[in-house]
Amino acid sequence: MRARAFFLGMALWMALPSAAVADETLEPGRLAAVQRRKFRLDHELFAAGTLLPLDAFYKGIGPVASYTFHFGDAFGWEVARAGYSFRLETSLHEQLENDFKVSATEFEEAQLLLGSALVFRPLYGKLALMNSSVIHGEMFGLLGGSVMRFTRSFKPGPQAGLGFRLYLSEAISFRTEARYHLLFSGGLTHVVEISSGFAFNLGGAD
Amino acid sequence: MRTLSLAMLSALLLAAAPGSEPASAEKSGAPSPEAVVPAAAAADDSAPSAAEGKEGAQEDEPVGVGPETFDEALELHYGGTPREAAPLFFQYVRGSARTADNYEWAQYFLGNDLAQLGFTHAAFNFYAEVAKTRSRAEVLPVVLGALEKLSARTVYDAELVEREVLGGTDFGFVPASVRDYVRFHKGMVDYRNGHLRWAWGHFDKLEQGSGYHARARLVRAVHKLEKENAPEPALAELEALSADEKAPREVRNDARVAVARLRFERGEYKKAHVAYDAVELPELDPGRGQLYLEKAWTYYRMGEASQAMGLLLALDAPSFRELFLPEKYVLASLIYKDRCHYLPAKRAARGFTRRYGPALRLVRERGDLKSDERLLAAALQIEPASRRAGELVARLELERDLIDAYASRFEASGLTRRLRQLYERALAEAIRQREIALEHALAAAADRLLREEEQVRLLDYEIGLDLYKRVKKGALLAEAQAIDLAADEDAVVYPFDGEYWNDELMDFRLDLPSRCAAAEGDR
Repeated sequence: MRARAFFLGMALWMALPSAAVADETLEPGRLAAVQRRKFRLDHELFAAGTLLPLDAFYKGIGPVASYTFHFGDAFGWEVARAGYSFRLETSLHEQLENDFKVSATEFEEAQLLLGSALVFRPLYGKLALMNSSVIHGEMFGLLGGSVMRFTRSFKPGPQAGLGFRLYLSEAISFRTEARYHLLFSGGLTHVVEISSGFAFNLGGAD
Repeated sequence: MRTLSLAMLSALLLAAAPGSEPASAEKSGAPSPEAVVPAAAAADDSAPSAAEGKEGAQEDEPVGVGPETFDEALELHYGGTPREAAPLFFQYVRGSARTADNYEWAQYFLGNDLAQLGFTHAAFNFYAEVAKTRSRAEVLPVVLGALEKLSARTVYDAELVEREVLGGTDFGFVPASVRDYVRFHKGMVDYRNGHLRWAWGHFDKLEQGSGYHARARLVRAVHKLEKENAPEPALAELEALSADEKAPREVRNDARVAVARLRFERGEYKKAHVAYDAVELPELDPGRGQLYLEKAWTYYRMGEASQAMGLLLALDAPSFRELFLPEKYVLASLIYKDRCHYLPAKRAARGFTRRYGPALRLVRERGDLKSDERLLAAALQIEPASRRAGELVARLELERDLIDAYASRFEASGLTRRLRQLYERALAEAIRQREIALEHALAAAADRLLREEEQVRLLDYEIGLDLYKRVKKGALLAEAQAIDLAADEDAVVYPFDGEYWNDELMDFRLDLPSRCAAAEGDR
């Protein structure tokens, strides 16, 4: 019995170093590529074309421009954004006017777009283009407020959006975004807006 | 490792000096069809060509050809159909006397067409014929330009091009466009033959600021370092060269690597690191694996084990997996050991034995070293002469196999037969040269393996000692702490998920926390 206890003790003692390194059986450490961020934004001017595709009676199309100040790599403030929408009537609109004699003034149409939003850019990354070059891009979210002038009224409300950006150079990027505006005045109005254009970064790039 | 690296640089310089400033041969120097076709060939042009040499004598009797064959071939050449033009040019060369008016032009255009079809060695041969005979002053610069251009883009028979043609031929007056190319190689041939005064004489005549001038400066700097044992002037020259924006990129890079190695040898790790970082790479080029290892050693000596380990792990990328870098196991093991990760340290050390065990057994048993694939690959990598010889054999085999694709088209003109003879003979000689180079390289690789094995054994033993060593409280805890990868706000962190991106390899870091406190507690 005592001999067994001795051998058990010996075995435990000999096993001590093994216990000490038991958590070392896996490869230690965390491997990552740590690179200097290639593209940074500071003062951003955005010029784009925008499309309002949701209304069944007309489609809006027009120019839009904005200025965004970026506090860092993650957050920014789109200080001001303005755009104008030109009307493109749909066949349904024509049909209502021609067949049912509905007056054109019955249709509320967005004309002027104004807004401001916070920009959150959590996703930044790169894509391999045909294994021959690397392009950088990011996805961002938007949350803010809008005011739109319609044919007969001004309508305010919140807006939210999602977009992505491909960096063409340190100064120029291609940006596409979709925004949803929920406007309140005179009942709820839903406006979806899709914009694509070029953003010009002033300062900030390395 | 360092001494070896310097020796490698020196060997590289001595073994190969690829052209860096390809001159436009065909576009600028080649004559137009009208200019090229002068008077009709001589009446006795149908005589067998002396250019055929021994193998020509074995061929069928050449059929007499007239200038119209050359005209037709030239038209096809400028029409962009080299596969049609080449056999006609060869037919003309074969059926004409060496004194025929267009004989050298035909050889030159034949070389161009063959090069375009992928037969670069044959092209070198035809260019060499023209350059060596130099019977027509107007063809010579064009051919030398073609030689320079072609040698800049492919591996070639240096014995033929550099020694026989450039080193062994007195060209007389050489136009400015190719003067540096000729002078540099004449200088290199003299240098390799130990005729230093002649070599420096050629180098001194190189145009200041040209690519060849930069190359010559590099050769002289390495000579100062290796042969004259004058490290200070050598270092000064290498640093000047590495900052010279006029020098070709590969020369600047070689100079930077040499500076980095010298700085490392002196223990100036930060300066070495700066020099390594200055090496310019094309976008997405993973670079040279050897440099990753050297940079890793530099980081290690600077106390930045995280970066060192990151570079070592980058060497597992597919681009580097087959490289012969036995020292990486030693360094990895050292880094793990320093941070008290004893099992990984032992695993890293034993990774060496796993990878090179069969090769080491073969070395100890004094077997045929060539029979081990890893050892053979190592020998072809570590010595520039063997690497170049191996590349030449591979290239010649490729081009020899290419003959089959054109065999029927070239058959009637006799070009197929000529190409087969040319490639069989060149390949036999290249293989012989490779075997000679390999013999030395294999011994060097085996020697390096044995040295590293000794290091690994010692390290394994030390890890064992550390594992059971009683330590003073707090002693190990004072070792390097883990770094926070995301601490730098300018940085973007891409955690590794098994996919190697070439643009990231140099930026790998391993966040390796020290286990020393835990190890201390365990004891």
